[in-house]
Amino acid sequence: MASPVEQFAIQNLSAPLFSIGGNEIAITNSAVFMFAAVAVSSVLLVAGASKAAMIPGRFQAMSELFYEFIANMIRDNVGSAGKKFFPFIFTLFIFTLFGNLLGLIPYGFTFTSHIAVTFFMAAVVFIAVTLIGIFKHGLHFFSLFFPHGAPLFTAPILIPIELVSYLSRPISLSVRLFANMTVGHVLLKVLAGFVVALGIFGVIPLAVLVAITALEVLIALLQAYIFTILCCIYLNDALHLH
Amino acid sequence: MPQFDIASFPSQIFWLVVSFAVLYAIMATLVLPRIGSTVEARERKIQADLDAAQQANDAARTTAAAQDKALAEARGRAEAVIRAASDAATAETSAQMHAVGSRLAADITAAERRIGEQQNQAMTGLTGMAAEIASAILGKLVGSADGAQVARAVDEAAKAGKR
Repeated sequence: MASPVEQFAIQNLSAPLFSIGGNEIAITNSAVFMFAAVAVSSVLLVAGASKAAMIPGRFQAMSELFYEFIANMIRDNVGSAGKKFFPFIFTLFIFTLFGNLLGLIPYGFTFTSHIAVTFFMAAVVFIAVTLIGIFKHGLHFFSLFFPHGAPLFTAPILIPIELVSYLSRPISLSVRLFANMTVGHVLLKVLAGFVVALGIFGVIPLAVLVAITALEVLIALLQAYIFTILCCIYLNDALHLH
Repeated sequence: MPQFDIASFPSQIFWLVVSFAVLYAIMATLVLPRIGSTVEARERKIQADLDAAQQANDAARTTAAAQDKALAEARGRAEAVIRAASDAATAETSAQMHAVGSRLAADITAAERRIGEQQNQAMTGLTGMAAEIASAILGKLVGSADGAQVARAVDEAAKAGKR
């Protein structure tokens, strides 16, 4: 039986196209699923957006649902200052969501189950948010590391704690998504192994597998949502301090 | 785990940046502005409909208020007309009563005066007759009588009798 983590292997599907800084870049299974996420989400959303009916049809209603969902998320968590970042946050949500969902297709590949991908996204968000905060508030931005109204003598304890908590944000953000996706797929793979190994009694793990697949769909939606809303909350902290 | 194979990181990150950039470009140009304008247009339409409904409601209220006011005015005018008619009728009645009363009073006065005159005439005639009778009695008894003296005596007696 194949190892449950074999499904996460990055495979080159083409000869290396070119190289960047000595690293050869080929089209991989991860890249194909990234293209698929872009293609599927673009087709659905462009189809939905191209009709501007007063009473929306299915595709239009779905597109508007996504739009309103992210617009409300930004309005509630960031406020009107977050409007500029709407396209970025929306793209982040759609990319993560379709990456998570397309990975659930059998024989598929989940690019969000790779720490390289999730950490890069989290790091970009973290660095961007920090720069936005410093650009907007100058040195006052560093008051973020000392809670307003706390007694001054607690500063030697609080500032390191707040600093560590702030610096661990990209790690927690990326590990949460990567770990959820990885564990879910490992679980599915292990259960699927039992289905084959148990023969006729394999129907029991098969039933569990169906339930876990449904749960994984929920987790795919939920983790995309959590990733996006946490980015909104970090952005809000940088824009409004606290 | 393949996730910690650092050799695959550059390729993953490269394709991530490319895919994300493409998706961002599509979302920011083709998808979000269109959905945004559709949603906005719908909100404007709903708001306009709500405003129109509000205006119609206000207009209906204004009309109802105007109607109420007109009704109240008409009622007030009707009451004034009724009151005026009633007052006029009362005034006419009292004037007629007054006229009748004064005519009756005049008639009564005239009748009383007439009665008084006739009484006086009767009394005068009675006094004259009494004097003649007294003169005649005196003539029969005494033989002669001073007419004027007898008349004065009868007059005094009549006056004394009246008291």
